[in-house]
Amino acid sequence: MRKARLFTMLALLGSVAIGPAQRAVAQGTDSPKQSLEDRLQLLEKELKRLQPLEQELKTLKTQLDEQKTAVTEREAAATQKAQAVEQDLKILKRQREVDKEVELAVAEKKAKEAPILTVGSKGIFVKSADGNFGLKLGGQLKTDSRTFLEDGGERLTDSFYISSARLIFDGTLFKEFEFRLAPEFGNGSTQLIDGYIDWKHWNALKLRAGKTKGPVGLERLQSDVDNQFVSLGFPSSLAPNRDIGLQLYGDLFDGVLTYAAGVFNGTPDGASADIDEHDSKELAARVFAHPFKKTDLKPLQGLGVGVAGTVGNRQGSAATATSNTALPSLKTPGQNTFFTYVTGANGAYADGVEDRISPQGYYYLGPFGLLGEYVISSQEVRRGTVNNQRIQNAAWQVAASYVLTGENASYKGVTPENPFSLAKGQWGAFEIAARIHELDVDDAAFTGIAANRLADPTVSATKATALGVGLNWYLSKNVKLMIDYEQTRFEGGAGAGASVQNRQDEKAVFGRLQVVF
Amino acid sequence: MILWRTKNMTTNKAFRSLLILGAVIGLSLPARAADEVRLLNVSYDPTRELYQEFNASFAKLWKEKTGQTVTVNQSHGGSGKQARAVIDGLQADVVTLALAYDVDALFQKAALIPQNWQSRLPHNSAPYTSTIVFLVRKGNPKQIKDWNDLAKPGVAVITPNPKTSGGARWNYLAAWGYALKQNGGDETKAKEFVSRLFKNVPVLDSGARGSTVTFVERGIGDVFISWENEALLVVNNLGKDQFEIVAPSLSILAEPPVTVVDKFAAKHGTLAVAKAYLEHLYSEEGQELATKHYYRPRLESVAAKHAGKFPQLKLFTIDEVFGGWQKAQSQHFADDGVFDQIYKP
Repeated sequence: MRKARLFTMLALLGSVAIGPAQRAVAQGTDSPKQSLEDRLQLLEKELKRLQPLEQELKTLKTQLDEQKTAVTEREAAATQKAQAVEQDLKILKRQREVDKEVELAVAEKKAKEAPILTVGSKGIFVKSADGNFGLKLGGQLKTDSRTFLEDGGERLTDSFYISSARLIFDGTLFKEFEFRLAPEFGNGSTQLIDGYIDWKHWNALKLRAGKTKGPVGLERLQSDVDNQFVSLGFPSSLAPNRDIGLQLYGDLFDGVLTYAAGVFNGTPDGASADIDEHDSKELAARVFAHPFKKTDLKPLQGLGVGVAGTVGNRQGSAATATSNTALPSLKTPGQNTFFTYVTGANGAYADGVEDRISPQGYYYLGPFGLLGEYVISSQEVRRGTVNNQRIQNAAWQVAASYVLTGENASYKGVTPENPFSLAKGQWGAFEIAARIHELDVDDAAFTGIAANRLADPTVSATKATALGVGLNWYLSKNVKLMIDYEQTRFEGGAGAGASVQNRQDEKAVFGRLQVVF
Repeated sequence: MILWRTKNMTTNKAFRSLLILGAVIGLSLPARAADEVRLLNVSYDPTRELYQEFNASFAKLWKEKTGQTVTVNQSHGGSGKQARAVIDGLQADVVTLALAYDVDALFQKAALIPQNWQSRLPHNSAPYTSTIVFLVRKGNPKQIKDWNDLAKPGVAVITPNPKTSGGARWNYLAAWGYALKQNGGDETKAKEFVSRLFKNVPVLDSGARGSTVTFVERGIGDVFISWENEALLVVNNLGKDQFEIVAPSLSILAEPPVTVVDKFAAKHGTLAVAKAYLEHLYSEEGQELATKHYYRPRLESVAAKHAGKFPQLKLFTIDEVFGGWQKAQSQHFADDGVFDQIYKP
C-alpha cells in the first residue's frame, strides 16, 4: 500500500516537473532574458512545491527499511521459536522414551523381586527372587510286594506293604544355609528319617549337622529312589544307615574328588539311631574320586572309586531282657532275619572298639552300569565273663545293569528320553539288572558252648549268598516300576542241638511301584 | 591268641585301607590337563571394541606361551548393573568395570574378591584411564569453553542420571571438582553450580548409552558431558563435520579398574590364565590397543608416542578431592544425598 502510494507520488512528481518545462517550451520566448528569468522563477516555485514530497519520500523509504528489518527480525524470531518448539518436541519425545525405559526397568526389577513359584516334576518350589530363601516340597511313595516261592505255604509271609511314604521339605535360608526335614510314614510307623542343616558357603568345605546317612555304604548313599533293586545288598547291612552327628564334606577339583568326615553317635550295622545311650562317639570318613572326569578319556569318565570307614567304641548291655545290646540283626533281601546274636538277659552285647572299612566303586558307560563294594565290620562282642570276641563280618556285592532303551545308566538313576505316553506311543525306559552279594559272619561268633557262644548256629546262619535279577521300568523320572527275583542260599542257620543244617533257601519275587516328586 | 590274631587282622586291614586310600587319592589327580580354557570378562558398556581386539591378542599370546587355547567371552552393560549381575551369580572370571566402587561391591556384598583387590595390580588396578570432556555441535554454536558455560541459561546439557549411571557419576564429580577449585573449596557454591548445571539438563537418561542416543541421534542438547574415549569414538566414527570436542580447563581422572574374581576363577580353575589376561593389559601391546581405542595408556613410552592424540588438560583424582569412592558415593549419590537435594524431577 505504501509502495503504491510512493509510486503515485513519484509519478505525480515527474508530471509536475515535466509540465512547467513543456509549458515553457510551448510558450516560446518573448525575449530571451525575460523568458529565462521567468523559467527560473517557475522552477524555483516548483522545487519549493516538491520539497515536502521529497521529505515524505525519504520518510517512506526509512519506514520501508524499518519494516524490512522488523520482518527479518520477526522471521528470525519465528525461526528461532520454531527451532525451540522443535527442540522441545524432541525433548518431550525423548523424555517419553526415557520414561518408558524407566517404567520397563522398574517392571523388570519388580518381576525380578517377585517370589518364584514352580510346580513340576521336581516338586513344589517357592523361592525369593534373590535366591536367598526357598522351600521345596517333595516326597516319595513306594508300594511294594513280596512273594516267597517254595516256602512251604505260610513259613514266610507274602505281603503288600508301603516301604516308604515320605514327605521331604528342603529349605534355603540366606542362600548359604539349607535344611532338610523328611518325616517317614512307611512300614506302619512314623519317624524322622532325615533332619539336618547344611552350611554351604564353600563348595570345597560344607558343614552338616543332624540326622543323615552315614558316609560309608556306596549303595546306601545312593538316593533311595535310584537303587536298582527293591532290597539293598548285604554290604548295606553292615554299613550304618542314618545317624546323628556333625560332618564336614565337600567337592574338590571341580568334583573330581569328594570327601566327608564326621563324628556321629554311632549305630549298629545297618541300623538307624535317634538316641545315644553312651558318651563314646563314632568317627566316619569317606573319600571318593572320579579320576578321569575332567580328562578327554571319555570311556573312563564314568569311573568312580573310593574308600570309607568308621571307628568308634560301642557299648551295649544285656543286663535285662530288654536292654539295648547295640548289636545288629542281619536280614535277607526278603527282610527275614538270618543272623542274630544270642539275646535276653546274659545275652551278647557290644563291648568295645568297632570299626568298618569299605572300598567301593562304580563304572558307567552309556547304558551299562557296574557297582561294587566290600564292607568289613568289626565289633568287640561280649557274653558273660568268659566270651569276649572281636567279631569281623564281611559283605560284598557286584551289581550290573543295562538300559535296554539306550539311555545312560548312572549312579543317579535313569532319565527316560521318551517318558511313557499312550497317546504318543512312548514307553519310557527299561533296564535289566543282575547282582551277586554275600555276607560272611565271623566263625568266632559261633565258637564256644551254648551257654556262652555269641550266636546259635542252629538259628543264625554263618553265611548268606544271594543272586538277583531285576527289570526296572522308568515310566518317567518320577514313576518307576521294579520287579526282582532274588534267591539266597545259607550256610547254617537251621537244625537242632549239635546238628547244624543249612537254612532253607529264600526265593522271593519283589515288586515296587514308586512315585517321587 | 585272640589278641594276637586281632592285632594282625587290624594291622592288615589298616595297611589295605591306606593302600586303597592312596590309590583313590592318586587316581583322583587329573590325568591330563585340559587343552582348552574359557574366561568370562564382565565389563562396562564402552569397552566392546577394545576387548574384541584385546581378547584376540591375548589368545595368541597364551597359545604361544602355553599351547592352551583360551576363549574369552564378553558381557557388557552399565557398570553398576554388571557388578550386581556378578554378585547375583554371573560367574565372571574377571571384571573390567567403570568404577572402583562397583568392584568394591563384589567384596562387600558377596566376598567374591579379597578386600585388598585394588593393590594387586599396578596403578590401583587401572591399566588405562580416561577423563570427562564436552562433545558439542560442529561450530560450537553456543561457544562452550569450560564448565561454567554449562550452567548458563539457554544452554542445554546432556548427561545421564548419576544415581543409575557410573559414567554420570564421573561427570557430576568432575563438575563439582571444578566448582570447588573455582570457589576456593566452598562446598555451598559448588552445590549451587552443580544445581544450575542440572537445571539445564532437559533429559536425564538412565545410562551413558542413552545419553549418547539423546545427543547424537535425537539431536537434543548443545553439549554432551562424555567419557573422553566415547567422545573421540563419536567424532571419529560419525564424522568430524558433525561434532567437536571441547576440553575443559580441569577434569577428573577416571580410572576404570580390573580384577580377577577369585571365587569364580578358583572354581573354574582359571586363576592363572585370568591373572595373565589382566597383566597383558599392562604390556606394551595391551597399552597400544587401549590407546587405539581412545583410552589414555599408563605406560610412559606408549603415552609419549601418542601424546598428540589426547587433549592436554589438568586432571584431579577422586581421592584428592573427595577422599575416595566410598565417601563420594555416600555423600553425593546415596539416597537423600547431595544429588537428591539438588535434582527433583
